[in-house]
Amino acid sequence: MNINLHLPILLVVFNLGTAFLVPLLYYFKPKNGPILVMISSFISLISSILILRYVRIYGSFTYLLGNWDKMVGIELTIDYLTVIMLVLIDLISFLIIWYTLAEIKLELKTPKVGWYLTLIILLKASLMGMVMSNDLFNIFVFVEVSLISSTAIIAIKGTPKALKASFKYLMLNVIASACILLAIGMTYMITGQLNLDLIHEKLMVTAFQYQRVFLTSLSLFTIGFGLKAALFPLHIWLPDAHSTAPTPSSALLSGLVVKGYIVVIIRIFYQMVSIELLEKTPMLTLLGWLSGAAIIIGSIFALTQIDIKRLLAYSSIVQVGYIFLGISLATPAALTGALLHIINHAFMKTTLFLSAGLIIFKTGKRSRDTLVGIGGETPYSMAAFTVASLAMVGIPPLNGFFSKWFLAMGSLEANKPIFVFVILLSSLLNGAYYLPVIIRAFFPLKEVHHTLEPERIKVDKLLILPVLLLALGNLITGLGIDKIMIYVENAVETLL
Amino acid sequence: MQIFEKLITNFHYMTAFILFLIGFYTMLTRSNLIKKLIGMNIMDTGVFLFLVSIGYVHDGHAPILPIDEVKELLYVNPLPSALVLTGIVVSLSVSAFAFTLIMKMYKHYGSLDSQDILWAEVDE
Repeated sequence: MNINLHLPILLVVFNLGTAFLVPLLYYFKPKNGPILVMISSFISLISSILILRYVRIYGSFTYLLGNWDKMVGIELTIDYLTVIMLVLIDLISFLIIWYTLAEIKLELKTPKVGWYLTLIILLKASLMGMVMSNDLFNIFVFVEVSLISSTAIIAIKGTPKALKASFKYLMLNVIASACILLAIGMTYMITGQLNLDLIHEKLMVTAFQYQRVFLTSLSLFTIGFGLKAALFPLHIWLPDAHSTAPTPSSALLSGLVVKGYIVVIIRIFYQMVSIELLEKTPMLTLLGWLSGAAIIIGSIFALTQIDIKRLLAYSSIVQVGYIFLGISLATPAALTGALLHIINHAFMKTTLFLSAGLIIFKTGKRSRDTLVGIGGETPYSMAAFTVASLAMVGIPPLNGFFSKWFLAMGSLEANKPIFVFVILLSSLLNGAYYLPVIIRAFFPLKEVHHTLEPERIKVDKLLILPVLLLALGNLITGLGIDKIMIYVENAVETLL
Repeated sequence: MQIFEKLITNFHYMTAFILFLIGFYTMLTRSNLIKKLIGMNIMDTGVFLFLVSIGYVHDGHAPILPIDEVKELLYVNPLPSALVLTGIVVSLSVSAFAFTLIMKMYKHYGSLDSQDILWAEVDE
């Protein structure tokens, strides 16, 4: 028996277990709580790195839950796409949990902190389950778990605004879930299977026989997951939800949760339906135009935002547009760009949200016109913000450049040069809404004197380390891009 | 005429889709939050009816093997029913969660109307 084969499911079970132990821990031993949570998320990180190493040496494998045959049971696929996502989820959520432990007691009352951590770890476990599952219905169950926990982490502050945003989020996502369940039912109707690989075998025959059902289910999948991932015309819930939530929640939602749904849609498109069938439908062309619209219109919306967290939320819509652009072009380079952008955007947006949260917390200001000359008071968080926003614009040694480069290559490969123009234009617009914030912060036109409350400065030292590590992560993923490319290229090879 | 014949023979699918659309319409057009949730439940019921009717076999028995006699039995597909069971649990927990959110919102805004809540000015 090889323990490595059981590690992926143990990872999910371990996180689910810790999620429900944390409130007990906080109830009985409130002092030891934070350190034990840190240890558990560190264990989780180590085991996902072990899985990555195993897949690197022995190749990808599948795991049958309870050893039931894959016709009746649930199968897990541990391929390169899964391990990339597992390590990404674990690494980012480790740093976010670190930040949360230092920061959240300032935003929430003590008994709520344990429950908040429960929700974060539950969300992490559901994302892991979502990316590794090879069974449509199992994916649906994990999607619902992540829906409930992500709604709860938006509403946790209990302020009227947060409640309003989370209810809007819940209602729209429930519609998306119903669409997904209906699509699963239709897929089951024409194939009689729920396993993605088995559905693929059957679909190659039955998709032509039952064209209407196939097309309806494909579009319902796209609408459902597109709504959850905030693809352009379905993005209306995102700015409210991401800007009113507590800082760690916004970082988690923007950096990781949206990516989980995108990975599921990649699996459905490339593994279940496969590229040969997909090219016979107008779906990819449609997605291409929608993502082009998302990139341009999202950037224009972001330009008009005053609140800095809303600006970041609108920027998320743009970046989701980039990822969907890569998916829709369906060439090796474009898909590489999309997967790289999933990784890079997780680093960039988490850094931006956490540092913006720190800046808001320290200066008490949210509007980008008033954040003048704050570089002196919050040098470290502003430095992290600067690094991540330069990465967003796509300045070469940082990670954002490489994904944009591959996306541009992909659009040339697909013979659609208009998207190169779209990427260039949106990089300019990115610069137009990120750079003024940085310039105003470091080079104010007139001398500004701020007075900071002393107790706020004291907390800062504990908080700043994860943010700086994340900013460093932007640089490391940029410089060590060749190491990441090994995994991404393998993932693309299995998908196309 | 062929399309009507198809619709009549597959009336359960049609009913499921009509239910789905009624629920969808209710969710989008009603401003009362409780009505929105009722719409959500109708929509989910439509999906469940659809799933159950996929597995239906005419003249089929319940998918339980009889102990005493071993003979070829025609039985309905149990898998969609199992899916519906899970789906019901999910939909129930989402509704319960949504009701708690509505209660909290009612405490803050003093109204169940989404238009009132949208334009209300409440200090943080």
